[in-house]
Formats: sequence, structure tokens, C-alpha cells
Amino acid sequence: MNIARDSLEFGSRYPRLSELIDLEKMRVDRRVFTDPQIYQLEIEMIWEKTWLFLAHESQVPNCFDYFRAYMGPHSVFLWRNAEGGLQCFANVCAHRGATICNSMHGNARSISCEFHGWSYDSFGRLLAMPKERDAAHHPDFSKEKFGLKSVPRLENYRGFIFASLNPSVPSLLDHLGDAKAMIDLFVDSAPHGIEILPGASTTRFKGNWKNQSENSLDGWHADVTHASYMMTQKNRTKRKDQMFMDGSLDLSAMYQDKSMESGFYNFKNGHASLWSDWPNLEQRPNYAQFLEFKKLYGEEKAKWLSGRFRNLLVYPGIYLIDHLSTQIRVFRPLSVDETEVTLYCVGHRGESPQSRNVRLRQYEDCFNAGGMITADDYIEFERCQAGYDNAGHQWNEFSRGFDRLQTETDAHGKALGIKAELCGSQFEDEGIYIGLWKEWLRLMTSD
Amino acid sequence: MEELNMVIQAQAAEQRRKVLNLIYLEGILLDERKWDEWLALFSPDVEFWVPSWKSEHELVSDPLNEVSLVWYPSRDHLEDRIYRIRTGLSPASNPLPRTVHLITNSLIRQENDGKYLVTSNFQVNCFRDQELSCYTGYYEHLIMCNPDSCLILKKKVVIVNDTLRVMDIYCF
Ligand code: FES
Ligand SMILES: [Fe+2]
Repeated sequence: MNIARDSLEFGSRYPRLSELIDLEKMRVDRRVFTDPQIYQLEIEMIWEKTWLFLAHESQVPNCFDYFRAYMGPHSVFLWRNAEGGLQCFANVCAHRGATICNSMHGNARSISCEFHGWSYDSFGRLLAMPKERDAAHHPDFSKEKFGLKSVPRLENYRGFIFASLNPSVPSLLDHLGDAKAMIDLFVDSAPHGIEILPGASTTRFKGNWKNQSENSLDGWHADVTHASYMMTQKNRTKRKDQMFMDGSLDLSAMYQDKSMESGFYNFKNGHASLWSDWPNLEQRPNYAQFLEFKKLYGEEKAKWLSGRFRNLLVYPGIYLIDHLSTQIRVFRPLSVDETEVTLYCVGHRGESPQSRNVRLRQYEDCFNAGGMITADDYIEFERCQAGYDNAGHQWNEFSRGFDRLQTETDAHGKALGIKAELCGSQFEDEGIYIGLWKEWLRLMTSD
Repeated sequence: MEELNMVIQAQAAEQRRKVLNLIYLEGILLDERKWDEWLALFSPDVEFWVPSWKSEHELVSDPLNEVSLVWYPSRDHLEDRIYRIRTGLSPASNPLPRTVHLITNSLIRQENDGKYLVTSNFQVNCFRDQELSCYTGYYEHLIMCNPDSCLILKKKVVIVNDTLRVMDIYCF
């Protein structure tokens, strides 16, 4: 731990960073959500240092496809070159700094900056500039020196493309550790592979990014924050709605039926997964698939593939969610109290039109920006942001399940071949956040 | 003969007036939170569609294969959304925002067999937590009229600024 950074120039206003994160008592000081100086440090020490998700490879399938993404505050773009190789460039013109990729995605053999017209080929080389003939540049100038800047690290795990601004970050495989097993389930549950369905949505809320990091691991909030959704779902079941008659959508069963197993895993580097058996499994749209998996791999693996919901946080900014609908949720900080979230619905390639329809309807109705769940989370994040600075409690408390924390991986985890740093057996328990706060502190105080 | 023509024309004009009134009334009922009266404007098999954007200027075109912000094929599902608001347990709708629907440029684009296709521009102002958010875009309504009433068969909402974090039924 870097003591100089730990005690930082916060003057007398703050204790050390390590004193803001009290994992012993399972609590964090609320100033980590509100302090602009801490936020600046997070950009530098987390968002510019670790691996960040950019896109799924199905979003840039062909030569010359490009896709704009963000790494924390920095705009970058993926571009597949003439030889099919994928590169990631900082979205900035070498001349005088204008962004050059100004559309969300597309296909281009070359990209010209619209300011003075410097143009670049798909390898990022400076091709040409207007009025090149009698330019009379400084003798030091040469076109070779003014290509696009590549982002130092770009790696792909099973189609998920990650990049890092830190040249010496350990490999992506090492970074993911046993969280890989959860990514594998996400991909392998689709026998013909996954694809991103057209029509992403991007929304912003006025709250700190770490609220979103925690939220899809938060099994405690769902039947309260989303009570109105659960009641609506019950009401649909009562009136035998044709489109949403699937009884497995009634999540309240997860809280009431104690025969269902659930829990969580903390992996190294802040990644974590929340899981629970599905209620009414035989009513789920992919039940036939579950039976198929059971034949092939046995009951336990079949449950992991399609009999349980799984939310995976790949720290700091992406969730793979296999829940009511299958989705990727990517987020990034805009300021200490504003966050942007992009949602992608993930489909299974080759699935029947009927399954596709169910998938889309569940995704839109529940998780998508116009659905009945996500806005309720955002509003609660905003209420937290508004509440943090109010005179009163100093700490965010998350000690539910303290007495039940296990350092030994449970049998379900062992069946997947994972070794978790921490393990829980109730999906409302809050020890699930320990890993991400530990990682926060590690990154914030590392060299 | 001429007189009969005039009567027919007057009836047609009256019908068009009713059609446009319905578009405005829909916004007013949402603003007044008269949910049941709002629901009654829709045909039981109404299609309610808010497509999402694929790129800067391209919307999804096929709700069965692409992701929409909202797509419901029946009034029951609009009733669900009202049911949910009425539970009072959705933080995003408790308290409900004050809304003002401004609907302009309404034009009947097609008319046949008692069916009217109307396009409009809208701006919905939502005031909550001391802050005004403005939702803006285009409507497309398909309205079916018989001699005594008009019902909405389709409502398509193209939302131009799709980054706002609350997109419930009263924002459109
Ligand atoms: S800034 Fe790009 S060409 Fe001048
Ligand atoms: Fe939630």
C-alpha cells in the first residue's frame, strides 16, 4: 500500500483512505460517494488503471467496422482494420485534438477529422491532409509521427472486448480470475453463441457510479424497490395474461420459498456474482433447454446454465446479467454525482422466434429504460446521493449476513471449479460488497 | 345533390375535428392523472410502441426481432402500467411528477374507411424534485372512428432525447 497516497493531501478534513473503508465492521464512509477529490483519484487510479469493457465482438464483425466507446471519461473507438485485426484508438486527432469518431458505430475505410481534414487509415496511420503540397512544416514534422494513438492494452475473453489505459496491467485472463467461470456460463448457455440485439439504450442518473456497481449484487432491495413490479406481475398471472403468463416472472417466490438455494461469490479483483435458483423453473421459456442441458451435463451444471439467475459484476463498470432477460449493463462515471448506463439486450443465436419474442418482451418490460424496474433503482441512487451529505450518519452499513460469511467455497461453486474469496448462502446478504470495496481500496492506494 | 355533398363534407370535417381532439385529450388526461379515462381512449387491441434508436438517425423497425423502449400489443398492458403507478410503490412515480403535454403540428396524413393516421410533435415537461425534464419527439396515432366514438388503434412514440432516466407511460 502506498502510504503517501493513502494519507493524501486531504488535509485535516479526511482520515486516510483506508479509514474510509471499514471492512471489519462492513461499512464505508459516505464521503467516498460525494467527495470530488476522491472522484478525481478514482479516475486516475481505477478507470485509467484497470481493465474496462468496450464492446462485444458481434458489434464489430467486419473489416472497417468501428464502434465508439468510453474508458471512464475518455472517448475511444474500436476499428477493425483492412486485415481483420481489431484495434482501439483514442478518439482524438493528432493535429489539434478534435474527436474524429463522431458517430456511435459504422463502417469506414478511412476516417477524416472534420476540423482541418487530416485523414487516417484503418491501421491508424495518417494518410493525408489537405494542402499537403507546399505545407512547409517544421523540419521535425513527418506523417509517420502523427498517427492515431492506440490504447495500450486490448484483449478479448470469449467475445467480450476489454481494454486498459495501463500498459503494465496484468493480462485480462489473470484479471478475471475465477469470474471467468461465470462469463463461460453466460456464453455457454447459448449453444450457438450470443449476439447483441439491435436497439441499445443509454441513460444518465444523478448519482455516484459506485451505487450502480453495488446494485445488481443487491438481493435485499429487489422486493422493496421493485415491489410495484412484483405486484403487477402477480396481477398479470391472476388475469392469465397471454404475453407475460410465465409464473417465473413472479420473483416474490424467491423471497418466500426457502427451499430455493441462493448465494454469492466474491472473486479476486473486485468481481462478484449473485445467484439464486429460479422459482417455477418448469414455467420458464427455456425449460426445454434446461432439460437438454441436464441430459448432457447433469443436474448441477444444467442449473448453473439455465436454472438459476446469475448477475456478474466485472469490476468496476460492467454487469453480465442472466435474469429476467439476458443483458449487458455498462456504466461509466461522468462526475462525482452523475453516471451513464448503457443497456444491451443479449440474444441467443438461432433461438426460435417465440423464444426471441419472450426474451425481448421480458427485457423491455422489466430492465430496459422504458421498463418497470430500472428507473426505480436510478431514483433510489439519486436519493442516496441527496442523502449522503445530510447531517447525520457517517457510514453506509452493509453487515447483513456478517455471521454467515464463509471463506470456504460452497458445493455449487466447487461444481463450477471456482475458488471464491468469500461466499454467501443467502442472496439478501451484504457481505457480497466486501470484494468490490477491497478492490477499490487496493487500486486507490496502489503505486 | 349539392346539399347532400355539403352535409357529407360537414360530417367529414366534424369527424376530423374529433380525431384531432382525441390526440389533445389524451395528453390532457395524462396530465390530470385521470388514468381510467385515459385508458378508455384505447382500443383493447391497441399497439403501443416506443422504438429505440439503432444509430443517430435510425430507429428499430421490427419489434419482434429488435429491442424497443416499450412495446405492448394490448390495452391490458397499459392497464398494467397504470396498476403499477397506483400501487404507490414505484419510487420513480412516488410522488408522481407534474406533467404538461404540449402537442402541436398535428396533421391527418391518411384517411380511409374511418381510419385516420395522425402525426404530431410533442414536448412533455415533467417536473419532479425541483427539476424540470423535457421529453420531446414525434407521435403517430392510428385512430378508428365510427359514428359515435373514436378509439386509438396504434400509438407510436419516437422519443428524440432518449437519455432521461425515468421513461414511464406518463412521459410519452
Ligand atoms: S484537429 Fe484534426 S485536422 Fe486539425
Ligand atoms: Fe433494482
